[in-house]
Amino acid sequence: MAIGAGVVPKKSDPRSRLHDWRERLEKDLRNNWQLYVMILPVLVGFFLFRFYPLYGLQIAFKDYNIVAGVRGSEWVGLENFFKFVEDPFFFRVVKNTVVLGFWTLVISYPLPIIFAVLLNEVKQQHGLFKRVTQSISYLPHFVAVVVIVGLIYDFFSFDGIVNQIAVALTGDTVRILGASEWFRPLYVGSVVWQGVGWGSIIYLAALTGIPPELYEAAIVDGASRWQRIKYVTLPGLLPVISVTLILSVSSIISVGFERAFLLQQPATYNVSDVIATYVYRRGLIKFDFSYGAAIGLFDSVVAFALVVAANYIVKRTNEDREGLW
Amino acid sequence: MHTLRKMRLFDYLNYLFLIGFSCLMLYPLLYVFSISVSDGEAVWKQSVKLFPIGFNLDAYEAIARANAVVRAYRNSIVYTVLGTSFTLIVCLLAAYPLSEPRFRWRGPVSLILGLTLFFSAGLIPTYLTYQSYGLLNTIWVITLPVAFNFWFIILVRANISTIPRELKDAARVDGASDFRILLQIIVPLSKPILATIALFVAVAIWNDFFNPLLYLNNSEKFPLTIMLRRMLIRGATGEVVQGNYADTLQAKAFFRQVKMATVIVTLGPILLVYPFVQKYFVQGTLVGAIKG
Repeated sequence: MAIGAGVVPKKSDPRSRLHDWRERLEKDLRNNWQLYVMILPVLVGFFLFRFYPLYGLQIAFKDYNIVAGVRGSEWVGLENFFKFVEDPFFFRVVKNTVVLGFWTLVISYPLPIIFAVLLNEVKQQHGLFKRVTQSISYLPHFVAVVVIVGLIYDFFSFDGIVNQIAVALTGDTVRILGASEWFRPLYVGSVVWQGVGWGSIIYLAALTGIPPELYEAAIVDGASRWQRIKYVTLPGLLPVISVTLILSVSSIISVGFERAFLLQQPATYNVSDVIATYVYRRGLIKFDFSYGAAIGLFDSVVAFALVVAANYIVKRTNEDREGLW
Repeated sequence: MHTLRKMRLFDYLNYLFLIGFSCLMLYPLLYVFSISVSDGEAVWKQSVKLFPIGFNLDAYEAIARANAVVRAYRNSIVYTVLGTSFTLIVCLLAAYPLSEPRFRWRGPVSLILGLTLFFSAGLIPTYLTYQSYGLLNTIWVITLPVAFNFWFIILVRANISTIPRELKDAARVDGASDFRILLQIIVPLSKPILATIALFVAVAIWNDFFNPLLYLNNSEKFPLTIMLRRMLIRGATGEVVQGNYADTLQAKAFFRQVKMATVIVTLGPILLVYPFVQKYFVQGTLVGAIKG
């Protein structure tokens, strides 16, 4: 119901209409004041914590100084953005972000689908085995990133369990922590360890929606297992796959802060310094607030553009012309 | 149906793979546990590979005596309980009017709050704003902003709209106020979705490292995650654990046990309730996925 729908103003006189409107509002406030009392703290909270910070985003176009504050600082237009493009580290952080995001996507995106398909092949009479495997696979999702990275520091140290195995096999110790060439494998590996099981939930749910008759019919028609996967299972997953793909494409440019920050060391900055960690270091550690805000804004705009582009491509390529919107 | 039940080579390989996969998920956790409870000597001789060797709880005792860890643990509990409560309160206070036809602004309000799902100000502007509120280094900066999440409000609102109107109408005819309807009809009938949201938020706050890192710099206020970084990544276990330890291999191995014990007590609450609440988590993700 639209606001005031169904109430026809008696006269077209604007003052009388305003009067009617006020009268209705007063009556509404009298009758439904409790609803207003409920929503008020919610609106205040959203304003303070979600909307008002957007007002502070203007410092990306200003030369922020602490004394003058957000409002009083001087406008500098796009200077902060030009500064970022000319920054000697611009190329490095953008490249690191994209490379890390790309490998994370390419490796960690398909694995939950494969895992779900394999789990789906477990025989019906082994339901318990399937459930236990599922439960175990979700577990790493609940482990804090800081714990995972902390364990990586322990397991991959010189005398850690991984090097104990390496010494037993090859006789040599491998320097893994603080070595640039190992940063990406460690990063992506930890994402995979944490996310494969959890990521498969949505595909497993989609698989339960495939009627068993389809499999039975396929068997009667003499379809091999691979053909059943290819012609029954995967088409059943396709709608979900296109949605999750669109949603995960933006992760290429927005590599999460926590994992990269905790896993990186100054020695590995050449591969591990990503946009999010650079914003933190420049903006909050070196107090270059305007610059940090500008880089952050740049990052979100690119991420948003990527989602729109991915949605467009998915719409173009699939036959039903269906994207996310 | 016969062919579906028969095991073939593919099935054996598949089962083998899935078992191996489960081991890969569990091994790190088992290893951490084994290190934390094994005999000190077995740890510094590096003979613990899988199951505990010997048994001792010295590392856990050391944590219990380490004021910094105990304080961090208490902080984490307070932040989690408070943040989760705030979230549930906000969800209910918002979802009830937004699902009530008598609330004439529900369209515009939903639209405006919905914008927060797509836009965020980013790290620096948010930091400066919270700073201007004087929230830095307070318990509120960790527990309040997290409560204003429109996504959870959508879930509760969707659940409320499945409750038959007649229930609410009957209560109103009997003279129940909106607050009373919310508390005595909506809340009891929304328990599953509220439990799901509570679990998600609780785990998120318990595991959160980002917000405490940004907004807290007083060690009195640090939660466990910040403490874990100091111990596991910065190698400052010696400062955290009180007592005089010589710079020996034995002491180093003991610190390692202390670290692992800290990991275990951090994971503990989650691992303990996990088997019982898993289905809520799974439902929660699916509801989210379908609605999204």
